[in-house]
Amino acid sequence: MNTTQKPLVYVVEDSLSSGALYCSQLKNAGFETEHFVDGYSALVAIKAKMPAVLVQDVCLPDISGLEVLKYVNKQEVAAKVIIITSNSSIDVAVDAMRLGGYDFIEKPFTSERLITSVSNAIKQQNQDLKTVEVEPEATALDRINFIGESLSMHTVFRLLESAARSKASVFVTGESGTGKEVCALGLHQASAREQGPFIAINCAAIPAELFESEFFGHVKGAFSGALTDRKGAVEVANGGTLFLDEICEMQLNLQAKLLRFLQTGTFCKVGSSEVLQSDVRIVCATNRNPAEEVGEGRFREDLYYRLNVIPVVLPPLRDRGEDILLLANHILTSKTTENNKKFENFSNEVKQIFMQYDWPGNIRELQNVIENIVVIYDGQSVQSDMLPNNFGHSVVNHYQYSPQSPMTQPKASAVSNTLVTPQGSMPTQSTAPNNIIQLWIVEKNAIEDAISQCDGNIPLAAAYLGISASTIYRKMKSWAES
Amino acid sequence: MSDATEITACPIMQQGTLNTLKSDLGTDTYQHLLSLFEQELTQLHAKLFIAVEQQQFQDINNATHILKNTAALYGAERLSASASLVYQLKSNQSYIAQTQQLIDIINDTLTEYKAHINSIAE
Repeated sequence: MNTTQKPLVYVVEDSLSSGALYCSQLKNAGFETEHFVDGYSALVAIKAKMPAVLVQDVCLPDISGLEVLKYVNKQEVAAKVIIITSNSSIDVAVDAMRLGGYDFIEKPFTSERLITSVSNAIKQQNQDLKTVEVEPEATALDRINFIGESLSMHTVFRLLESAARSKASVFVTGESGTGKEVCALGLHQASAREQGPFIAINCAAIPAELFESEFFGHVKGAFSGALTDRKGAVEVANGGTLFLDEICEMQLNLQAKLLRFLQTGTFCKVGSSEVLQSDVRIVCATNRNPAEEVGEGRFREDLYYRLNVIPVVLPPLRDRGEDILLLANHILTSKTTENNKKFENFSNEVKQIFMQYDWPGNIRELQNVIENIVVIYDGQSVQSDMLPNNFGHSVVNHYQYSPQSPMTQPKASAVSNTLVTPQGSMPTQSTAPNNIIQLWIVEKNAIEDAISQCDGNIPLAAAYLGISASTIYRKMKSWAES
Repeated sequence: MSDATEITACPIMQQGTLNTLKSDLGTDTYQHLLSLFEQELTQLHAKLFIAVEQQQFQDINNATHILKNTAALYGAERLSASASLVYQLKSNQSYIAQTQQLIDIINDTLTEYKAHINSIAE
């Protein structure tokens, strides 16, 4: 491994003049480079001296670039491999990412795109080496704050471990409440982009006419109401991670624009022809079946393949066995501390109910049920009579109708509103003193004030508030509905 | 790029791309890179010429795969567009006629780039 001040980059590219150009651009940016026009020459050089980064073409005259990638990743300390490819070999590039490639760039690309990718790869490489030196037992996974010991979660952990070390796009699927955003944030925090921003966008919550502006930003006068220039999520997320929740809700024309951005790393603000560059890692999520959406023509196939480099499927809570109690205990401890209460455990009856319940709202529902109990009641052990009145009804219904198949999908009617508290257990509004403002109003005012201070830029406001933009969108939607 | 008219609408040499290369990398490197490009174009021209004569579809495919991207990097837009068009053709399409047009464009490109390289040297 090269440890001098100039990191060593091997460029494996069968075109003599293209390879020479990439090398010149990288040298100019402060890297030491070597160019190889075929795979075998590269293998020999790698064996002699492992570079920090390998810029690897897939189509080579002798062997496939994927063979070189496989060889590199078998070594004890492997170089970060950036795959360079043309349109026609995009599927191969996707395979390459699954084999452990760090990034892929589509030809032809700008020098900025190449240099950014190599710089990020070096940063990641340095972080990996530092992790190995400081914490020999630590893995990227340890830094992803996920709880679970079930078999289904072990598969997820393995994928996240690989994904955290690359820049590849990650497509997280799973039912609502399974922790898709937590997964995205965890990936961000475990990656070399940790110091960069994490911007979350809920594609379903943004009105179609505002989406392009939210995403790419706008210039003053671009449309009525555009009183100042504004950065969009793509620009704000530069150097970090952009989380696109409910991606399947994105309109087709916007999907085309997103695809263009993913291919080139460039975009234009609404109302401007100036081409801007942003380096973001995309993590997206949906609770739909994306392949089915592609089949139905609602989601672009090319965009799907571009985003679905590392697919992560989060299992529903009901399929996670003992994880339910692990998570419940973790949430109980956390909510007890937050609310200055003394809860320590769950009664056996509650544990049994939790294990039998189908949790249609998944972890979010579990969290709400526990928070509800901790806020309202006092005690050391959570008892079954503390459960919300409507909780457990769906357990009865579920098992009445399908006692042999506890893992089946919940019926829509089984989704219980766990925030509804038992009648008479909370003070009514009429008994509240006049100077107490309802918490949701305080929260609404704080959020609206932040948005206003950020000139209407929701992702930026979210970053300052320390929450995700999708949380703001979700709350705005709920205010509008109420 | 879909047809011949659109291809001829592209400039043989996109001066903006070359100016960026020159300002980013300096005149010496720029000149060296252009010489490499010229050298590679000459080699690929010869390969394509033989491939057309022998009707070797795969050789044409390999050469155009390199050409379409490399030409774009060096601002040879017409050549890149033409190579992309030929690269997309299947072996049962009229790839020979299209490749002959591509060879003509390589000739034009070489002429213009050689002149440009000479002008830098002077």
